[in-house]
Amino acid sequence: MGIEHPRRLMLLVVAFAAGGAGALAAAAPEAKTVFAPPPSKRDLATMTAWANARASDKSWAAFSVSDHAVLMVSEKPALTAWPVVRTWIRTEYLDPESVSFPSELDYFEIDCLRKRVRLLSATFYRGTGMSEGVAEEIDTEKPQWEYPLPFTETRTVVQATCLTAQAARGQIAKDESGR
Amino acid sequence: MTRTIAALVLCLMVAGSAWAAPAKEPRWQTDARAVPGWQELEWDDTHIVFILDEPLDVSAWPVVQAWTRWEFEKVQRGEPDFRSMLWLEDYDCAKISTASRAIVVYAERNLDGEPLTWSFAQEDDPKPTYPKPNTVGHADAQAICALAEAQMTGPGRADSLMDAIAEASTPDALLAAFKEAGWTWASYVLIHDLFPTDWDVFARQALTLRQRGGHVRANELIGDFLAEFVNARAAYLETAPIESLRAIARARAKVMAALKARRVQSCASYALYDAITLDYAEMAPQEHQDVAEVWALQLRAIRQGMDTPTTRRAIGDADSERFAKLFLAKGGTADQWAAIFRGRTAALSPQDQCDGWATFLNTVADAPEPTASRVAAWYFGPSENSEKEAPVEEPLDPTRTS
Repeated sequence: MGIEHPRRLMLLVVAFAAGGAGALAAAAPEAKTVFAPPPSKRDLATMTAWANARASDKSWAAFSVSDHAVLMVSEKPALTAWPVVRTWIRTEYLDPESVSFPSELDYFEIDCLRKRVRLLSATFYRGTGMSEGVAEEIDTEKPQWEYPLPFTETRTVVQATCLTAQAARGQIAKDESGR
Repeated sequence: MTRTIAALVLCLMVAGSAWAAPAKEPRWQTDARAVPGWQELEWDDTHIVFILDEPLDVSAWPVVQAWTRWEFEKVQRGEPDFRSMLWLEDYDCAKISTASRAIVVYAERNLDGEPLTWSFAQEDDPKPTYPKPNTVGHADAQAICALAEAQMTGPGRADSLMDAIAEASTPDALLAAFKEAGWTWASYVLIHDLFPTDWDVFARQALTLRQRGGHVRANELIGDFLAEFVNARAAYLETAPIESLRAIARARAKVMAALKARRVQSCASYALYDAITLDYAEMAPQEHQDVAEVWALQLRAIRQGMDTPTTRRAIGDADSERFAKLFLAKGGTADQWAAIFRGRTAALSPQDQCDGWATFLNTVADAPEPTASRVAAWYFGPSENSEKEAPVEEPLDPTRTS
């Protein structure tokens, strides 16, 4: 099915925001380092271990694995402006040849009420596990809301983040009522 | 961006509304139906609409956000031309309005290839549109709201009941259909349990009507049966135990509070005429359940009033006076009381009708005996008019101390 890959959609948005498609084209030829191929077993624990093998920060845990990427979080989303939350998402691509960089760290703002998302910052690494240095770092000047398309990783990010945020809010309310 | 969405909405709203099935399914339809992850919503020979095959997000009910996928037989002229698209909309199931949040169009069917364009609404609350009757947009909104409602209420939705009734050929099969329909129709099962002879007459009548081809009349009979059954036996509410009557009063007050929150006029109509004037989809499942609970409590009270009748004196001056004080203490006004007392609450504003009767019911629920019994029997018992007749000649001054 030809649904636009969310990451590419994001990159396009970022590229235009950063001064046109040329920005992305210029970044693409950067060298990338690929480590061990992904394991055949694709459960979250196995994929977490694989993705963290070469990472200096091993606090990241996989929460979703698709055919071509593993999505990871390190901490709970920030709940400062509910229903809008912010979260860092790390993406490790399983087939680095199909993307410009094998590892990526994005900072998203997510509206859990309207189920929409905007990319605030994106950092691309040359090697898996956020290794080998930063190839490119982009802070979106005027982030635009997007509604993640069905069957995309971005939609998974929104759904998982909002579920986590809801649970955290419930826990806070429970703690407060128990005082 | 907004203009793009508006143009596409316009284009789709005027899209064909013929519903005739083709003799043989064209290849493009077969291919479209083969795309996994989507369930068919509606179609004609020009287009098919699919909805994402996953539970709908009903957390913001009555607003449901849903992705639909549109497949067209012919290229849709626009800027650019397209043959399939994804559309994210908010469906307000109370207002039957829609608001576009995202549109992504593709040159080819089945969302093949890269999107030609994508439009994401940036405003928090995009402007709603109201799909006109007999348009594809209206049909889709209704279908999606029905799906959401079915998801919330489980198997108890009306359409499945009517399907089951259409297949029922015996009273037992009809009963099974009502049981299968869940709590929405639980009162009918309760009539069977508490009043088996009456149920049997009703069931045979409904089946006979249906077998003679009178589906509409059969459905009317079924729809009206509960209210008519209870009204015809209101005399037994006069002799029901006070605790049962208090429970009905509390349950009715609860329904009124919920209706008032939606529309004060609906609360007033329920108070005066037992009529729910909101659309079915406008009420939350819990509210439907609360209405059903009032019926169930009345049925049980009628049975009790028939089996073990409580004898009580008619309401008198002292009861009225005592009750009036309690009514005022609960926040009712002298005007509301006077209108209730004279059987003239229809002349009050909807707000006063709603508040006055709600306070009245809450007072019935908490008033001491024997006043509560006598007032409740007067209120719940049969009446020739839609409003109760005044129990005594002149209203008492509720502010007067005895």
